[in-house]
Amino acid sequence: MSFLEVRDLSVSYGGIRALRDISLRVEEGEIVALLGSNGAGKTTTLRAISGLAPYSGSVVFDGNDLRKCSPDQIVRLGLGHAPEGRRVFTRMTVRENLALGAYTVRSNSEIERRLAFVIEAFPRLEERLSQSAGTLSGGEQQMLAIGRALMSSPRLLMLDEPSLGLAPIIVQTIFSVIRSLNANGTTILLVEQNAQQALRIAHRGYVLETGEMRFEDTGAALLENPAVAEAYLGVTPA
Amino acid sequence: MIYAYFLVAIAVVVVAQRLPDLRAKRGLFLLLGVALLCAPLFDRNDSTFNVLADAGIFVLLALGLNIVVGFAGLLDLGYAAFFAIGAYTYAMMASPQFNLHLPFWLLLFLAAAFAAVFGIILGAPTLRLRGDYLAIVTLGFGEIVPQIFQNLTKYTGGPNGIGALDFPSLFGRSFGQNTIPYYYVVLALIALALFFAYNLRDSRLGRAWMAIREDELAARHMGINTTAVKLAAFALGASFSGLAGVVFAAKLSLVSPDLFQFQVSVLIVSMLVLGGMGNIPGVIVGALVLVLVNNVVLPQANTIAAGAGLHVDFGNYHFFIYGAILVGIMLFRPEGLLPSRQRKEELHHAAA
Repeated sequence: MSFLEVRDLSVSYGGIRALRDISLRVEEGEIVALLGSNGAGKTTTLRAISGLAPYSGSVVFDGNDLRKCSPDQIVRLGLGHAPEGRRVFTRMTVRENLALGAYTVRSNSEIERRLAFVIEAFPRLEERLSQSAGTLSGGEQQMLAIGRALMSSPRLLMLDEPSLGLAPIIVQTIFSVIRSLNANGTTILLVEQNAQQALRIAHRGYVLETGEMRFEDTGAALLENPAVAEAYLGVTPA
Repeated sequence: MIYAYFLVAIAVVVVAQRLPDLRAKRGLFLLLGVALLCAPLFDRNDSTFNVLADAGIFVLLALGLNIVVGFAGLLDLGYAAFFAIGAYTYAMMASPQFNLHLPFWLLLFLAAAFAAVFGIILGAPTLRLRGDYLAIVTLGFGEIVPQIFQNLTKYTGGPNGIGALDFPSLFGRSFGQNTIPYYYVVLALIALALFFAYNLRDSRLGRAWMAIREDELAARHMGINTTAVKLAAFALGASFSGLAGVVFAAKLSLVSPDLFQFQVSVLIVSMLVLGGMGNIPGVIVGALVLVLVNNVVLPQANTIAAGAGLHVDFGNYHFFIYGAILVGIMLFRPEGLLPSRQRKEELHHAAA
C-alpha cells in the first residue's frame, strides 16, 4: 500500500463530471507532479483528497480511509494543503496566519518549533511577521500560504499551483524551497500548470486531461514524452 | 446628571481603547467599574439607575451578539429571540403562572443554558448558509419565537404575557421595587461577560472564528472543524442574551411577546455597526450611545417639545433616527466609531 493511494476517484459538480475514475499514488519521500491544463480536474483532485469535495472511489492515506474522515481530521492525520489562489487571511498578520496553520497543534513549544522551521525555509517572512498578510507581494503571500500549510507538520504536503502569477525569479525560489522541504523528508503532491518546472523537480508525474488520467511516468520520462511535450510544454516535436 | 454617567463611561472606553499599554487599559476599566459600583452611594436618584441598568442589559446583548456577528461573521438578525427565551424562562419558572418559584440565581444559569441550546437549534440548519441567506433565516427565527410565545396562550399568557414575576432576593432580602440591586446584578453580569468575551476572543476558538469570518474555505484547510466552531458561536452568543433576558424580565416583573419584536434585533445589530463590529470596547460604546438616544434624549426631546407647545412623540421617530445614524456611519466611518484593527483594514483595503 502506498503512502497516498487514490483509486477510481470520480467527482461531479451538479451533474457535470469533473473527474472520471482517476487513480494515482504517492510514495513516502516523493515529489509527485499532477499536471494538466485549466479545468482538467487538478484542483478538484486535491479538494477531494482533503475531504472538501464529495466523491466516489477511495482515498487512503497512510492506511487511513479518508472517506470516513472530516476535513479537520484529515489535517490532523498529517495532510497539509496549500489551496489554489493562496487564500491567506489578508486582514490578519503573517504571525496570525501561521498560528492558524498550526490550529491542530496543541503544544506551544511545538508551534514555536514549527515557526522557526517555516522562517528558516522562508526567511522573507520573518521581517514581515507583524505585517498584515494583505500587504505582502504575491510571492510573499505564496510563501506564507506554503508556510501556513507547513505549520501543521504535514507528512504529505499538497500544493495547488504555487507558481501561479509569480515572477520567474520568485518561482525559482518557491521551487527550490519545495525541493529542500522534500529533501528534509516532506512528501509532496504538486499541482502545476508550469509543467516544465514541476517535472524537473518531480520524481513522478501524472497528466490529467478533462477529468481523465492521460499519462503517468517518471518526471524525466514525461519531460521526454513528445505527446506531453506538445500538449503541455509548449514544444513541437521535431 | 444621567448624561454624565453615559459620557464618562463612553469617554473611558474610548480612551482605554487608545491606550497602548495593556495594564493602563485594565486599570482604567477597573477604575470605571469601581466608580460605577460606588455611584449609588452618592446618587440617590432611582430613575438614573433604572436607565443605567437598561443600558447594561443592552451592553450584555451587544457583547453576546458581537460573538456571533463580530467574531464569527455570522449575520444574525433574530438575536432578540434568545433574549425572549431568557426572559420567558424566568417568567415561566418564577411566577404564579405555573406556581413555580425557582430562585433568580439558578434561573440565570438555566436561561443561559436554554438560550445556548436554542442557539444550537437555530445554528444547526443554517450551517451551510452565509451572508444574506443566513440573515434571512435568522430573521425568520426571530419572528417565530415571539409568535410562539404569543400563540401558546395556555403556557405563556398569549399577547398579555406573564406578569407578577417574583422579585429576586439575595441572602433572604428581596430586591422589591428598588432598581439599585438590578443595577448591581447587571454590572456583575457585564464583568462576567467581558471576562468571557475577552478570553474567548484570544482563545483557540476565537482565532478559529476570525478565520471562518475571513475565509471559511481557508479555515477548513487549516483543520478547523467549521461546524463545531460555528455552533459554539451561536450557543455562546445566545447564552449572553439568556442572562440579559432573565434580568430584564425580573426587573420589569413582566414579559410579553411585543417586547421582543424584530426592532429589538435591529437595535442590537445597529449597536454593533455603530460601535465597531468585532471590537469589544466598540460594541459597548455602540450600545451606550443608542440607549442614551433611545431612553434619555428622545423622552427629553418630547418634554422640551411639549414645553414649546408642540406635541410630537420623538419615540415614534426612533427608527428614523437610527437610520440616519447608520447612514451617517456608513458614509463617514464605515468601520464604526471604535473599530477593531482587522475591520479597519478590511474597509480601507476595500476602498483602496
